[in-house]
Amino acid sequence: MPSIILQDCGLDLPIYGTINRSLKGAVMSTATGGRIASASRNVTVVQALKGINLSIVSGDRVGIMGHNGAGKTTLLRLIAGIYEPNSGQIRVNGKVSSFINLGQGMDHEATGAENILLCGLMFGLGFDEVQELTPSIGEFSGLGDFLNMPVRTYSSGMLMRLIFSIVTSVPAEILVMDEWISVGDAEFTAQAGERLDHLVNKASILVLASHDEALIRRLCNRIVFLEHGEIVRIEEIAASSTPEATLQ
Amino acid sequence: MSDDRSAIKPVSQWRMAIDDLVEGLKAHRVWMMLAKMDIRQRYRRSVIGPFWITITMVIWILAIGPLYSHLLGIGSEEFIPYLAMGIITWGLISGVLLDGAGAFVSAENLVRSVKLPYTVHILRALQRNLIIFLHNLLAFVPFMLFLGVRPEWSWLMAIPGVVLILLAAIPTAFLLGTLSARYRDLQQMIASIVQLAFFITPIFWKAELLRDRMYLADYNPFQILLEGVRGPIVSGVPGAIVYFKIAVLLGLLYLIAAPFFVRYRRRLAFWV
Repeated sequence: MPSIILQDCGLDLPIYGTINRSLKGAVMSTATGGRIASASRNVTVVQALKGINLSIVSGDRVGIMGHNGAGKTTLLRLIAGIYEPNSGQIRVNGKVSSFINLGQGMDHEATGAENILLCGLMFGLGFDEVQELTPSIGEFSGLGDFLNMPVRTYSSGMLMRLIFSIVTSVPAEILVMDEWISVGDAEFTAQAGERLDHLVNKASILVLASHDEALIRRLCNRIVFLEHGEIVRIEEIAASSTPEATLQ
Repeated sequence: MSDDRSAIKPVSQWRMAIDDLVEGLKAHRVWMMLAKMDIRQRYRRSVIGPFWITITMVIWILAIGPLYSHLLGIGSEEFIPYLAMGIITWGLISGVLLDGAGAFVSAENLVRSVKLPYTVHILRALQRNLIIFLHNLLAFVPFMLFLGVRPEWSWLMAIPGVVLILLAAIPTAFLLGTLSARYRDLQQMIASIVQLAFFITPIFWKAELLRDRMYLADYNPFQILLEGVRGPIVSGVPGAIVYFKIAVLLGLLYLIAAPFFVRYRRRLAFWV
């Protein structure tokens, strides 16, 4: 059974400037030890998350809300396994498919089709499985012949369509998504919303960060409100507003 | 509450590092694909594609070969194969060293968007350089034909030589790649050191010329690794002592790199 458990998780993100990014700087500061040098040795640390306790079980659809910089993406990265907590424990059971800045992870010189293959492999599929999925990904993304063009020629909306189609096509038990809806046109947004409705029934767990409260209320059964890296409130949404109901 | 806490047992960092390595090796399709795309991207808009690498190498050997064979007074039929294999192999050694050091930094976006074993980024860099090396190897063919060098079975001993270079590159890349992610000026330092090493390693001169200073070549790790590939092809399979030295070198590298990676693996996502 897929599940995510976070126990008292804290995460400090170090912010490096130019001096503490440099080996020469690090060596010089140990050698000289003057005031400026020793001050510059300290790395600024942002406490991105603190005391996060969260237990997500199979069937949960969790929405994460909060201001810019509240720690939404950091929390998603923690769940996706990209970051590891500095304190506390996390356990994620199940296959995670994550959609966090995936556009940046793509090879922009390669074609859309090549990127579908690459992403499929990265999410643990075999060549055959990706080949099987490719037509449906191409169809849903609506990119048509553009799939044979380099991704760098895509508009941000097209790129988003491609990524969304890939991530939602790969079978996963846990789907982690970040701000996915921001650049799509109205038509695609509607299609995507519909697809996500179906998907949340298939994927056992959905974790979604967004600023769009209406969307989150429609898709999720729990909303986690983050503020300054802490959970301020968890709201359980009654069963009547779950996707099955909205589809009627 | 205390029961809950004991429910999640912290996983040891050694365990996680080993998992990273195992998962990374298993994900061979991913790093092979990434490496292939790297090569393709570099030569995407050129007609002859990666064979530019081969041509560049041929030109290099054509330019330096006769000149140094004259300077050193060694016959070109002896010197050019030596030089060609030396430069081609050096390309592999310096490539895995430089690309290995940049493995995490250049995969920055990927590290921060998809959960992949860190080993994948290392193996991608090595695979990319292995592909380049194989293209470079083709540059040896015209010289073989021209100088009438006949292949021998003993040349196959160069293959373990290549494998040993790659085996040495893995811990080195983990070590330098991690450090370069944290200290961004390290890559430039490594580039300077590699350039220096190119001149102090017997590549376009012969180790015998050192006369009573032969130890400068005998204990040069680059020369030792180089001999594992160049030796079987130009001067016969090297003696057991060379393989022993490579084994010691490998042991040392893994001994240093393993605890280092175990300790800093979890910090890498913050550093890139």
